[in-house]
Amino acid sequence: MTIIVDASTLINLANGECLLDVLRLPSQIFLISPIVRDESKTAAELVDSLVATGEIYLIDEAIIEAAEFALAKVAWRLDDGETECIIAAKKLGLLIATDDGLARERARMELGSTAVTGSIGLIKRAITAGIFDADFGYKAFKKMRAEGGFLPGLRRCDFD
Amino acid sequence: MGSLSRHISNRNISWDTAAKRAGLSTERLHDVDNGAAATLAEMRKIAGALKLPVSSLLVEPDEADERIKILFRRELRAEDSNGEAYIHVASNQIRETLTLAEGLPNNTWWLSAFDGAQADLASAEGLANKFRSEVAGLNDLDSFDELPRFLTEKLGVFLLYCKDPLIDGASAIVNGYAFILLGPRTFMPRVFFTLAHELGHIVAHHDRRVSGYAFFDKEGQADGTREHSREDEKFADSFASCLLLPRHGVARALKVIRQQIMATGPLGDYEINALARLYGVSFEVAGRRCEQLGFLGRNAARALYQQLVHEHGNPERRADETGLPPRPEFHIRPSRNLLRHAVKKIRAGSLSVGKAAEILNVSIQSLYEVNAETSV
Repeated sequence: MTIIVDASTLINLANGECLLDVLRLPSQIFLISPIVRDESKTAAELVDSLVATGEIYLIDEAIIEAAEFALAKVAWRLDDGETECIIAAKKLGLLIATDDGLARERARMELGSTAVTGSIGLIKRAITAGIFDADFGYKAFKKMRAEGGFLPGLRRCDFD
Repeated sequence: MGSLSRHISNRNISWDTAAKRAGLSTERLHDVDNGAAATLAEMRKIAGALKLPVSSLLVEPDEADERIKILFRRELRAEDSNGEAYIHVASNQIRETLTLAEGLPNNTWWLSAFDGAQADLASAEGLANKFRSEVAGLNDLDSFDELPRFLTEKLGVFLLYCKDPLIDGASAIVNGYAFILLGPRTFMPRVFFTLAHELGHIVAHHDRRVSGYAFFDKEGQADGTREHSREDEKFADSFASCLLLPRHGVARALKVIRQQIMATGPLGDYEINALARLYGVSFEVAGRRCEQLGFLGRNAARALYQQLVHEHGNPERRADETGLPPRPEFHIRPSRNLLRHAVKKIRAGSLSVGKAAEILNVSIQSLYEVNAETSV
């Protein structure tokens, strides 16, 4: 399964100090858009090193026509990175991970609700895969919230 | 002419140079400008070569953009034949910020302090003093390093960094909201002066609170480093200079500095550098203020500046060599009220975090920080 990671999720996972763990999810390939890489200023260095080591791949922007990007940009009222992620996920039939409410809503409309996840969803997958336990996952979530991530209020039991 | 042509022309680069920077052939660049289908990858390369956001090359302006463009065009100088490209980026940023700011109180109420006042070179110092005393409650000695915070937090002026780095500064009053856009620069004293310069333009247009106006300064036009021939620019420069370097404050500071070093001769670079650091401005701005106040002969500051550049590289290096205390860390941040308002909208699900960051030209992380601060 291949997942396109948006800036909001990327930054949240980096803030929660669990990005590298989540990227170890088995049978998952993670893609990031070049625009998102630029938007994630604080995580850009980390992204570059992950791209260099093949833990994450950059989307080939040549698959997206500039005209379709421009139309979507006006219609969806999202930023460049969010727009590019959803278009790419739609074209390639991939999942998208975004923590932004409006981007998730648009992604559900364009891709279907099963194709949309976010940092919490990825943390839960990592718990299920045994990469870390629920305590670690909950602590990561609390760090993400403390760093200002736009995330819902969850309790420890939500990670069991 | 396509929008690419305007941007390339604005940047004073050839098509070959633009194509080379973008990693495309010149022929391909012309094709894209003439409407050939392009991929997002190509447009991103072109936008990168021109140092512009990709959407400014792709998204057509809407009606609201056009209304703001008209305000800019009214103030356009004859020599700004390529002004449209600047106007396009700045208008779009202002229009999108207006949408984001919906619900915030108007921020031009303080301009009533200038009702009836004529804004010309002769009145610049009086209006700057009026701003200091009546609007900001400062005496005529203090430095005004709190100006950015005062403008954004107390007056509610919308302060943002412009998406087009070739703009030094822009100011506007649109729909009852005052805007200042600043060009991103690394040397903050230059940005500080540009901020005061753009404030000067707003004060000069105090009678346009309803009808509005919009105005931009190209690179090097608003940082206090050049002589202007236009009256409105002379006013804005003089206003900024008097606002940041009050007459009595400068006189007293120079007296103290010269007593400390037991100086007896004409004013030298040490005193100007000390003054510049005390008031947070560049050497050039401090030197020109000394000229205006009669402490230096005409053009003496420029001569001193050139001498410092020749002998020491730049005035800052010279200031460090002479043992002056380093400049305090100083940041001019985009309006927190806009960031807080954006965060409210993101939480409510009516704005995406990426879109908010794009409009306000800030990092997504900075919106996270505001969210963390304002979370209960």
